Amino acid sequence: MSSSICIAIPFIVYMIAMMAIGVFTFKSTSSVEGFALGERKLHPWVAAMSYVFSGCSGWMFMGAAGISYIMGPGAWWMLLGYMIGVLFSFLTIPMRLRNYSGILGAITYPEFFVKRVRDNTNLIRGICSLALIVFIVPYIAAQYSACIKGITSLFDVTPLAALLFSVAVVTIYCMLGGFKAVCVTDYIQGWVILAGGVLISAILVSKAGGWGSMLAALKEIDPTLMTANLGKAGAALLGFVWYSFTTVFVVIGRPHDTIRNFAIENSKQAYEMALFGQIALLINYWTSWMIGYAGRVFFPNLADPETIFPSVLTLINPWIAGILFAALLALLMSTVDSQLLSVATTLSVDLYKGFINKEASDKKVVSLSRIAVLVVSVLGAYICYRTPQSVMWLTLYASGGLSATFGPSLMLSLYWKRFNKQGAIASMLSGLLAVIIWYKTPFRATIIHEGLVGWIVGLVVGVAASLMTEPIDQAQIEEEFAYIRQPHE
Amino acid sequence: MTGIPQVQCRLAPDRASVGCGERCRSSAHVMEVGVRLAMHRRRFSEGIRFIGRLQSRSEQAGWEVSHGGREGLPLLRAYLPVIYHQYIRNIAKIHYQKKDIGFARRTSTQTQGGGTMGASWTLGSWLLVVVLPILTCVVLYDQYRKYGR
Repeated sequence: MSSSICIAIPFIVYMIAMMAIGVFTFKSTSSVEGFALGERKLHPWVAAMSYVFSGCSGWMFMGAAGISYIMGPGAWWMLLGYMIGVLFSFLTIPMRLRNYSGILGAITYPEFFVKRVRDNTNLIRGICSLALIVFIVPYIAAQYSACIKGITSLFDVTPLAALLFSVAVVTIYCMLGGFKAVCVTDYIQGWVILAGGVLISAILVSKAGGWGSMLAALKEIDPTLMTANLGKAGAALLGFVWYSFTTVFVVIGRPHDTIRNFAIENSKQAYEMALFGQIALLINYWTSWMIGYAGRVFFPNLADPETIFPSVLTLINPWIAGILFAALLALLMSTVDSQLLSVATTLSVDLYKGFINKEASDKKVVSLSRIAVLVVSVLGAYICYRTPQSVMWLTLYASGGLSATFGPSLMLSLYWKRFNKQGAIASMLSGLLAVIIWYKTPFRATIIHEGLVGWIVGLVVGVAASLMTEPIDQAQIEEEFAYIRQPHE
Repeated sequence: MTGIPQVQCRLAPDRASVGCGERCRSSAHVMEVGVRLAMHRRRFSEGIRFIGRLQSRSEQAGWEVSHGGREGLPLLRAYLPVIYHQYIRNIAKIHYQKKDIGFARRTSTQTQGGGTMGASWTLGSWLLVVVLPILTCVVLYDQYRKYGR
């Protein structure tokens, strides 16, 4: 049996299993809350895995492995920046957001802001929908781009065939199973990713002759692979570290992972979710990094470093490679499905029910959500096919845009009682525009990431606009804040 | 015992290479060590330890060691254990002959060290890759212990 077939069989079995989960969870999606939040009964470990792997995306085994291939330990400046961003999110958001979304009865992310700042104009729903479409669709395109790279590196298929296959699998289970299917598949995929990552790291180090021999081989390829400073010193090093840490802000408040906080059973579980999520993230970062770092011993001159993961799969037993390849696709799909769901529920709940048909039944909204999943997925695939770009940078841009649009408003909503409707609208619009404008300047890749620029602008403008306008009824807000400050069972 | 293959180890002032085959032959010009030994696979794990110790000792002596590439590793694992006791003891004045192991005398007065050997991480790398990421989990464990149980 050829190695391609050996790789393909476990991979295809895995894909069928994911679609089956969509079919089995179909029955729990008859209500909007069921489709969008899984009835708020998510186990903290499931929520944690789903949170982490919705955020990790194909960036990990493709983009992060690629920069690890190039930078070695120095890649951890950027990875640590992300970890600190996630740590900050876990310390500040889950408990309060679970409490607040519960008492407000918010089902979608935009709906939380609408109810928190008492927006009766629906302007916030419109801005949120715009931001989700502007940033999440290219984000989905980046994930599909990673799928194409992975599949075409291992199988003799055209990019179009690889794209169509990926789109079909993700779209089907996401359309059918909604939030619950997304979370359950994320949970299973999370374990596959962690186990696969650990396994392939161990295989690579062992094949390189052990840790010491691996380092020696890497040092011969490039001595800077031993150091955290990438051979830089002084201002050049400081500039790199500074830029890497500005990416802290690209993970805070993104809708497709933050929404998991709505769905845990109670806010006390938020701490368990955070701890488990951070540990899973750490293992995933270590293994993704190791794939790029150790992989360089065997493939020192790859034209595209982002193809290191599929390249190292050719070194190992094809049956195991098939399972590990499924782990890569799991990473991509666990992100795409969450993003599809975010946009779909926003379009159906926030735009359709919020603007067009306020009396729409649950059944109609859920049906519309399923159609929206299909439309957005096809749109992302089209962008991916027309404009293939680096997974790494496209993901960073989209992630930064989402974070800058929603992050400042989220933090102000949870920690500042004076925050109001005008502040939220101004913060979201200015954050969104700042990212798009900064992205077009020549400074973005060298001085400061657009995500941080958007965050600062969004925060300052949000505070200023709130202070200049009428506050919300403070007695009611006081009462809400008194409740959200404490964990509840 | 499966034969008596030959491994050549050469140490250069700017780069020392311990390995086998063409790679080594092309890399050295100051010191040449020719080693003939018997293959002894039962000492595999000892060989792995040897590589680490060889590198650290060599580094202390001002040299750096590289293993000569992937193709050299299997041979290193198999053969080098046999010489490691002798080599480490004599790392500063390599001049040793015993049974089927032969070392050539160092023939240059050039200074040692520099280059690509003694592959190990800097303290900064360990901090960045291992310690700081673990600390982020410790912070959350503390939160969980206080409020989540």
